[in-house]
Amino acid sequence: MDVFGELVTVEYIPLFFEEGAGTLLLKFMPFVLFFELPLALLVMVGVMKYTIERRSEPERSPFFPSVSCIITCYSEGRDVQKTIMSLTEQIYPGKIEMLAMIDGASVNKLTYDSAMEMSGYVSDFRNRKLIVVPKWQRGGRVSSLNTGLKFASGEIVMALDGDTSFDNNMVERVTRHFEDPYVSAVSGCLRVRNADESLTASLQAIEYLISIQASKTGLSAFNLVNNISGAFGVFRKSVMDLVEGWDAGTAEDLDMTLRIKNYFGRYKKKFRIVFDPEAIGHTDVPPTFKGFLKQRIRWDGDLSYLYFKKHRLSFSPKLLGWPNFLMVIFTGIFSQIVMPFVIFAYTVWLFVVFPIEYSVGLLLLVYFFYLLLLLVMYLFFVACLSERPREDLSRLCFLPLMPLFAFAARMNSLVATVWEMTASGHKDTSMAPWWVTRKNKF
Amino acid sequence: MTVYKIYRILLGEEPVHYSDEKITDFPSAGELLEKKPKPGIVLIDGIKGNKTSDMLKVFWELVELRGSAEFCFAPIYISRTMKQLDIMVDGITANIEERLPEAISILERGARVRRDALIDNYNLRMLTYMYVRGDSYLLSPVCAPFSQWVYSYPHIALLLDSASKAAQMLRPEDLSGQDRLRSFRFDTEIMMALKAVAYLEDNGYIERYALVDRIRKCPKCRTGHLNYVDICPNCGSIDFEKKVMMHCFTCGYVAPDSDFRKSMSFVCPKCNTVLRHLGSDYDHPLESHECNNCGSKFIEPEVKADCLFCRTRTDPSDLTVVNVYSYKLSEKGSAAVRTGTMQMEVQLFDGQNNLKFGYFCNILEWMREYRKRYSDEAFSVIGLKFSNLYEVETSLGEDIYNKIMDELIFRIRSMVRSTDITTSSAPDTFWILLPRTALENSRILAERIEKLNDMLEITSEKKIEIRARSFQIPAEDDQTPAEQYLAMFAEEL
Repeated sequence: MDVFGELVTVEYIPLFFEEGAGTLLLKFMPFVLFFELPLALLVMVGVMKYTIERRSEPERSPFFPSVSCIITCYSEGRDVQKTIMSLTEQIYPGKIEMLAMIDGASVNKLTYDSAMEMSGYVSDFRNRKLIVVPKWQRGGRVSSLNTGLKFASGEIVMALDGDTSFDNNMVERVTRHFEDPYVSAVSGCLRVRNADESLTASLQAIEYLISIQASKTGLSAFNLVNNISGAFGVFRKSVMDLVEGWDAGTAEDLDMTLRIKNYFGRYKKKFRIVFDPEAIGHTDVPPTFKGFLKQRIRWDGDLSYLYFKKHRLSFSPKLLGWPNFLMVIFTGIFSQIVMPFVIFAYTVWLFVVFPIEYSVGLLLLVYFFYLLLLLVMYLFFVACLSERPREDLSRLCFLPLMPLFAFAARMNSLVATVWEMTASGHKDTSMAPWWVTRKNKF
Repeated sequence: MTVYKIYRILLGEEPVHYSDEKITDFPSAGELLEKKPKPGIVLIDGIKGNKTSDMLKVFWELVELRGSAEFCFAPIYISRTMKQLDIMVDGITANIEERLPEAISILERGARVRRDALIDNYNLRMLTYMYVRGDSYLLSPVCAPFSQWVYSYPHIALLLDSASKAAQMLRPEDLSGQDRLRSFRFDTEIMMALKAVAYLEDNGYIERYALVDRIRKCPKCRTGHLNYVDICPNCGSIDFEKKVMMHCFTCGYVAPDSDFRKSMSFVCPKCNTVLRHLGSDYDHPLESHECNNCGSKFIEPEVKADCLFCRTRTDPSDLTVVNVYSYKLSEKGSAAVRTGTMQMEVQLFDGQNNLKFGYFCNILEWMREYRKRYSDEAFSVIGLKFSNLYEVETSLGEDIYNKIMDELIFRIRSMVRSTDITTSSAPDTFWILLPRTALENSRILAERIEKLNDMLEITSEKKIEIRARSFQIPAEDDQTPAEQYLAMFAEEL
């Protein structure tokens, strides 16, 4: 902030307004009008729609399908016990079967032993069952999920991460949507478990609330859920059988979402993917800024790989249905891949064309605009959706850092896309060993 | 060398064994016994063992053979396996020739036995059975899980006089033959065998060889079929539930999780916080139990052992611990077999002055003669009867019963003078001959014996009824045998 303070002198600010509203608008256009604002408005309308509909949600009918949770574990160690305990603790009268898939169990002995230790605890509970499956040879996340699918006996299958624990009403919230036979999948809401560990973690907690809890609720209100999170996805078993499980390669969660969506168009939009902001999982995020950037490079790189290489053919209104087609173009390709380039180009252009004081002043204006937008959205979302409002409001003080944080993330994602395009970075993934990714067709 | 005969009992049309001149066939054990045969080897043949009815036929033949004085210790073989019956015979063989050496050694040792002593002495039969099978013979317990006694010695049970009054008195109900056979469920005999083995051990005729197993039994009825059940420590009900306790982090309230449950979520009843996540909103400080019968709350249920037969509930530490042993014949036991004499089996009195009933009657008649000659030589007889031993044992349980009996016997023995002569005419009837004692004096003693009941140190709900009367045999009558008088007196008891 000090940097900005020194660069920006007060006399420049009236300058923006002297140029007239039209020019100013032009300078904002790429950022705001064409993209951020409509999306924010769509999400807010969606959240409002959800909030109103949630008020009149009927009492739960006695529909308690059996649930199989495939927990993909790698090197989580003792954290796996939190996951298993939180699933055992669910307030749900139906059956919950937990399949702890330990990938590379011979190396990850602690994870395997930790999972095995829980069998006594689980056996004390009615309708809870724990199966620990050691995959001695490491085979990657997808192989764990598909192996788990073979063992799964429930009508509902969950793909969960071994480092994610859940609120005790999660299964109850999630299963109620499947009473509607056209609901093919439910995406769960992720929150940050270690939010108080560091500043980076706190900022990610704010980001998760806006980009997951709120945005997905908004999109879900229009059946436009863009991704079923890999750490927390819930599927109807018959749908999983239809798409024949997960596909090898990275970003298998997005891949699965797109493949399910491919049926939307074919079946005349009957199918739905629901996001439930009250079905909550808590996951650990990288506590350091460096770790955060590394994680995002991987995610964003995987994203462009998936959109541009693997699912090029999926981009057809025929397969996805028109609304989803537009949404994938809009949120997927435009926002996450094209936008970083636009922002980067715009900033460079700004500094080249205008004097530095003017550019910085303009950026400051952009900053305040974003901050205001964020503040309004954050308060609105906490009021409408948050189940832990006190905790979320306590992070308001970090909000002024968020636009900078988001900018850094955008630039990082630019690097990721370039890296992926030029060097096939997705093969350099920690999600599967090289001897598995090597065989991948794409 | 004596040539022993082979008696074959042919029970069916399908003999395994060939016929030859050494083998004599009989249709049943009954017909064999009627012929008053010489000692020999018995082979049961001609029947397949795959039907229960077949096994039952063989079983009754065995009961008859082993119940007889002639064949109680004889080597008996069967030609095909008869499952549970196999351990009751000396072996299964299709070719009896192969078994001849061992069978002949049994019979040769049997030749040294005084057979006439076996006629009415079933305990001696058991000792003989062990004796003839050699010094290395082990009387091993057999696990009979369907029997309420769990471990027993069924081959010994066959030797017992199961029709005797004692068996009837102790367990009057009788199972059908088929039930008895099924896994040795002839419980009467099995229990009698246990008692017999215990008696032989107590009296030193057999000695422990190895500890085979240890089981816990109901202290009242001595059965091993127990159900270990966890119960409410307050009211003893088995109907209680595990209650998980919940602890709200926000306000610290602790209560069973049912108190927190509000439709599909946990809400703290004190501070109304919604408790969503284990470890960050709440935890389970402990597990407790709540009785559905009396409502009491407790951490650990109590464990008790319920007897499946008499329904007595016992603390596991109070169960009767029974060590099950295998036995060998002792020196004393093998001497008893060779001489054909065992000490008197009466428990109430022992020592030199305790006589066989016949001798006692002889002495009584001699005393009568003596008094006729020397009229100042008065003598009297006290009759003693325990009339409800069986009921007391079943209602108090064997442990307490034994303690009471021990004390009672000790007291009675201390009242008897060393010159008094004792005997027993029935398992529960005893006689004391008191020389130089007038009827009035012996009456006082009889009264004191009758009152012993109330003076015992062990108090119990049910008391052993002791009937004691003093009698005098009229001096003028020298015709009626003493035995007849005692029978008359016994009726008055």
